[in-house]
Amino acid sequence: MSRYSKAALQQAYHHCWFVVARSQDISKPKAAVLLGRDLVVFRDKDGQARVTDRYCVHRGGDLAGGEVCDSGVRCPYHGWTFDGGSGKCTGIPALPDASKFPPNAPAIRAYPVIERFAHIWTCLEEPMFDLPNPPEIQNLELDWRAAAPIPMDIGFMAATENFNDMAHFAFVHAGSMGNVSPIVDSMQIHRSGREVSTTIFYPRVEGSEFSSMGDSWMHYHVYAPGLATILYDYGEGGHRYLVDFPSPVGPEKCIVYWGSATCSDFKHGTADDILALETKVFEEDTPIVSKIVPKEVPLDGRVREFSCSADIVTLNYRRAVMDVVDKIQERFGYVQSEAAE
Amino acid sequence: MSDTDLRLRVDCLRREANQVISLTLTDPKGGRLPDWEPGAHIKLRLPSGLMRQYSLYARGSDGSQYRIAVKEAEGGRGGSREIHSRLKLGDVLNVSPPVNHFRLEPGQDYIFIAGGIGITPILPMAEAVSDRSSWHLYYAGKSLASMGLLDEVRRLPQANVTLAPAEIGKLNIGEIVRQAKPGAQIYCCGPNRMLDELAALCGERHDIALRVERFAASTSAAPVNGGASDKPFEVVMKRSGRRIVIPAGSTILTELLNVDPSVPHSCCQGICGVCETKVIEGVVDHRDTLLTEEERQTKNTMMICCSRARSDVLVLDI
Repeated sequence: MSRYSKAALQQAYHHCWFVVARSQDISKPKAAVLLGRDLVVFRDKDGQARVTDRYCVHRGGDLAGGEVCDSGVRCPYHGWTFDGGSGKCTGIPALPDASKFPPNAPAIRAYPVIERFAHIWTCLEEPMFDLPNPPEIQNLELDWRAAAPIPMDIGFMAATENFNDMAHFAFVHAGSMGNVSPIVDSMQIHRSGREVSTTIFYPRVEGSEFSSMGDSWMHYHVYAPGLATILYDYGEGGHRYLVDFPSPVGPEKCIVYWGSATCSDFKHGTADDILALETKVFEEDTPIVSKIVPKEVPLDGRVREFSCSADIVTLNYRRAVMDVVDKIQERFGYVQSEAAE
Repeated sequence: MSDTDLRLRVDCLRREANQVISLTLTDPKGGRLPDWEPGAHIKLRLPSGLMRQYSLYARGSDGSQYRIAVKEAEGGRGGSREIHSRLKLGDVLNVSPPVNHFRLEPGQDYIFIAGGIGITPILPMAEAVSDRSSWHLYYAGKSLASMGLLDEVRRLPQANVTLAPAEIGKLNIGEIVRQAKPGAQIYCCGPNRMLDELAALCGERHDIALRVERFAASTSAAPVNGGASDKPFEVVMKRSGRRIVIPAGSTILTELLNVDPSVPHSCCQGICGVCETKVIEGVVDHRDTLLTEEERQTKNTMMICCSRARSDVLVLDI
């Protein structure tokens, strides 16, 4: 098995944080699939977001069809309840009292949760990295919007690359971005470990809705494998922020979760206006990007692609992903046999 | 940016002409800055992260300053815009040490031609030869009001200087080239139109030398093959024991493909990483733009499409 085969990558990604829901969507238990695992996401009575396995250990009732109760989440089938933080069973209504509980109290698996960027993040195994807190927004007062998630039949790395690609603007986004130059200027890339960053100058395009706010400096900052961000800097016009974190449902299936925020100094519209504008841009991507082949970035080198200098950000992103996978494999002892390649 | 970068403070911002400002950069600790020769440029990393290169035109009397002049380019790539509208006194920037690709060669007779902000590398050249060689400076621009560094230009011996603002009349480059003495060297920095015209005219004069510098040199993905100055070296393919010679002007990949057409490769420019190959022995001359400095030092791999050898032999894991 190659170091970067599909199976090796999926195994490594169990140690990375991914989004499983929007913060606004979990007042009732909500089903999610991450790396092939069935999960349920809900907000418990204390307001804490929780992620656990989806199916009850008793007879497989679907907790996503259950409800939040004082002691966690209640299975719709026999009413067993589970604590969202520990996964421990907190109630079996069919038993007269807790002393009759089975000696090894049953539990479902519960996962760590972080709520950030208006989304719910989890990690299936011991996390290799912290969920990033990008330094460039630490001093900005942001008004967040979580966009409607976009399911796509491609891998999450391919979706992340789309967000970091500038050479498709002129073709995919002529509608929103207007007559933008197809030429991608030379870029200075900074890569260190799993982070890749660059800045491009995006001059206003006459008559285009996307750049009607004026010239901007776009600061890209990517954290491999799956968090990509752009801080838009309009000078005196203020700042806005765009984040993209496609979540792997399976090797060739993802849900593109993304969010948009306006800074308190932003002078060109509300957070809702910008969300609507960026939604148009994403809607232009979906029909094109969801049909690419291969469906995921071929890190195993089995498909020959051609690259050019305009791909420099995504090529560095791939390298950063490999760095992530190398580090996870080393730390958790996932040895790939090179002889079997 | 690398470890050798300087951290310099913007100590003076001065309006020099319409759309032209000058910057004085100094070491906040008061140190002397690395020396440079006329024609040298520095690379600035602006607060936004953009990288831009600018020619140096003055060093300050004690060598503690770098001075550059920047024209606000309409329809530019955002660098000059940022310098003009957003840079402040006291900002500290990462600055690469000076590099010179436009060196003034020894000679007897110089013709300097500057178009607009192209005066910046040309001015220190004229100053350097002003008291010893035969020389003349032609400085063209849209109008006197738009031509930067005129104070400095006026301090040169005025008999050797021709100012040519377009409002008075267009510089007759054809005449300058025709009248150049045999053996003369022409140095020109200006808009592409001017450089192209000059190159065409000088093509008919084999007895004079032309050296030019263009605006807007790109900062990355530069051509990776050095060409003429490359030396041949030998590659040993560890797995088969085969040895092949890589001549100057060729690459390891090109020569390997003659032996094995299935060698993985893609961009052939050192950006994609597909041809990354493990190095067992030898010193690599890395010319790719993908590997970080840290990776170059720790990973022992190379991109065989463009990187070469510093040692006579490279042993590769192929």
